[in-house]
Amino acid sequence: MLSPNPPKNQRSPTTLKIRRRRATSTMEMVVAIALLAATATMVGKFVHQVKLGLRDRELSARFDWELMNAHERIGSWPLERITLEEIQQISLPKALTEHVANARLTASIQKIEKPLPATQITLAIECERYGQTIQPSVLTFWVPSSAEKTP
Amino acid sequence: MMRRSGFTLVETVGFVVATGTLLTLSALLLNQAFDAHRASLSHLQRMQSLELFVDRWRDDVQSCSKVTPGAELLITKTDNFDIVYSIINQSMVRTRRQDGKDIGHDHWQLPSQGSVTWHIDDQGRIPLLICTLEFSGDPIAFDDLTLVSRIGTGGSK
Repeated sequence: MLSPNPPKNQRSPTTLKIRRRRATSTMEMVVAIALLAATATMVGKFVHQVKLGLRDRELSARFDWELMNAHERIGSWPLERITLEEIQQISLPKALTEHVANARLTASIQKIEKPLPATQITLAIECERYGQTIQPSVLTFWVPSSAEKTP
Repeated sequence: MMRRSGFTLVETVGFVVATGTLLTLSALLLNQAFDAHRASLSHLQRMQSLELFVDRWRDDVQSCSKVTPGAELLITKTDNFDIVYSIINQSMVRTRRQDGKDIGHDHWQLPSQGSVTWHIDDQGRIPLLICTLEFSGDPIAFDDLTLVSRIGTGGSK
């Protein structure tokens, strides 16, 4: 006896079979972990950059203050004491040299005649950051040679 | 054929654990980022505050007629106008006094708890006022800060 034909809207048993997922595939796991790792790396980099930026800003302010301190000290000296040798004896504080590699104060002196006779002094703090020598702060000022007003 | 109408306990627990782990990791990462951002803003404000204090202090010292260091720094500008610097509650306070009466205050929040000492170095042609700030707690890259200013060389009033 022939079996009756199935109705047109009824599918065969093979197409009725529903494949239910019971786990995640390896590829999905790998993608999820990769995304998580990428996010973690980006956040880590962001935090690191923020910290570096803060530290650079602090050091920049600190360099400015040290240059101003040196300027004030030199300005208080008698004129005959203002020489390159004397200026080079000004030392940076330990708190700074301990935090920055090879931080040092450099100076140059030049006598000028115009607009008035004076000594032009240029101070700079050099240090090593990120593996290379940088010159983060420079201050130039003038000390009149005569008994004019102090700078 | 028996059709499943829900999840097993193990599947539910697995889902909850996996979701919980992901949420925890995400929260930790975001928390770190927010912390760094908050800290940077706060730090920036305090550094700016310190910079403003240093500028103001130098200006006061350079434009004064006399300084008297002690627990507080007394800067005499004119016969009847003085300025007093002191640290109160992690802030540097600048008090203006006219005829002995307080007429105003300025505050600058310091980067952390700190103490200050002042002394005069008069070995040069012009005397120097040296201010040493020492910080504790170290939210900044340095523990102490020394500021030097010549006394009475003519800053702005």
